[in-house]
Amino acid sequence: MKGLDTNNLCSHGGDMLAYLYDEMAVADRGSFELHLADCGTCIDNFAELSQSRYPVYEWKRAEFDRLPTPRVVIPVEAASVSWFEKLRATFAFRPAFAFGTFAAIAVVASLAALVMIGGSYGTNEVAGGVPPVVTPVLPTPEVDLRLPEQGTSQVAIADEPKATARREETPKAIVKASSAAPKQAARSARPKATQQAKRNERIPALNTADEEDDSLRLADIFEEIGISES
Amino acid sequence: MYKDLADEQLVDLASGVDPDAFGEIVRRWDRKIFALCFGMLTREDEARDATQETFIAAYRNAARFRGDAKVSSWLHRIAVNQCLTVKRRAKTRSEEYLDDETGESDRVFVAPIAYSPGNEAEQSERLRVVRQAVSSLPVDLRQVVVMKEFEEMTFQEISDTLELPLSTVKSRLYTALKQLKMKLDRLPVEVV
Repeated sequence: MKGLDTNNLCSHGGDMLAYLYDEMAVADRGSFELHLADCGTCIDNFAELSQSRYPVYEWKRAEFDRLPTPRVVIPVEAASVSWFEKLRATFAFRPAFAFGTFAAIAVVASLAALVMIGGSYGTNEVAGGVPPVVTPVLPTPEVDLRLPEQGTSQVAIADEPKATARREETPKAIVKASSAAPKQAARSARPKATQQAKRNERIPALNTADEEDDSLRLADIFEEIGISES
Repeated sequence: MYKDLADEQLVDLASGVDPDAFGEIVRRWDRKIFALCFGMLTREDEARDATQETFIAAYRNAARFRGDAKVSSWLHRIAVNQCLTVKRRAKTRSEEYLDDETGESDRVFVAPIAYSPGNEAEQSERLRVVRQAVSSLPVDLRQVVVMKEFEEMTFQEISDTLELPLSTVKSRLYTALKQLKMKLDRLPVEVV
């Protein structure tokens, strides 16, 4: 900025505009003002610049500053959003939504884990390490309830306490089992008849037409009214 | 009566036999001194006070005025010294306010301009002349004036916008203001 005006030989001539427009660094202002107070050339130069600037400032203040700031409205058409976009926007990444989803998954997972762990404890062992109580279903002893014949009464009488003893033995057969062996025994002890009945229920009867057909046959009707088919 | 006299003659008269001659000095120079004060203080209220103080000081010291300097330079020097005094006072005051934590010094007052039909007509004529003078500037100079004065951009912002060196921007504005001064001085209407 130095040497703006060839007639101005002062070295501070370049700082004039920065000072006039208040853009001079605060640290430099003091030294410039000290110089300005003593330098007649700079005083006249600064006065000239100020005097030509002020009318422009006055013009701007009178005609432009009072004008309201124009409000610019840019018409933007609302873009049509497809249903897919709406759906996508619904599931778009949102911190709260993501956190809620994560929390829900965590809750469901922990509940499922609890159920699974609880189920395994129920079959293998009771929580707390106490072995489960397994009651094996033993086959009911066949008791001969026929009336004793002559001569065999002693035998029958002798057998009866045995049977009673076996019956009474059943409650006593409650065993506390902690290993898999009693469990296996309990499973095998289930009546096979029940399982078979269940299977039969599940299998649909397909070829039962030949076994039993109560529908009215033409031959039967002929036979009833005494007309032979031929 | 005083219109045909030069500034130096008026000062001589004011310091001696005719104190009223100083009124013509004030009429001729009040806007220019105000513009200078405004350039230094950037506040209209302070600039008005400084202008008034400048003319009071000039009147009191009219007897000391020597004819080897121009009246304009004499008045400019008094005005600059008045402005520096105002600045020093304001700085001291702001430090005192800072100590008191009042913060009153931040207030900016703009002195109301006296309204009269004559003032308004004069004002509109002045604005027309300024508009004409600015319009007649070369485009590259006018561009910098508009960006600086109307858009209130800093020199650096203008430099970035126009992709010009900072020194070129300042040089253009300096030249523009100088040309503007010449154009305004040539016009019959007293703009400054």
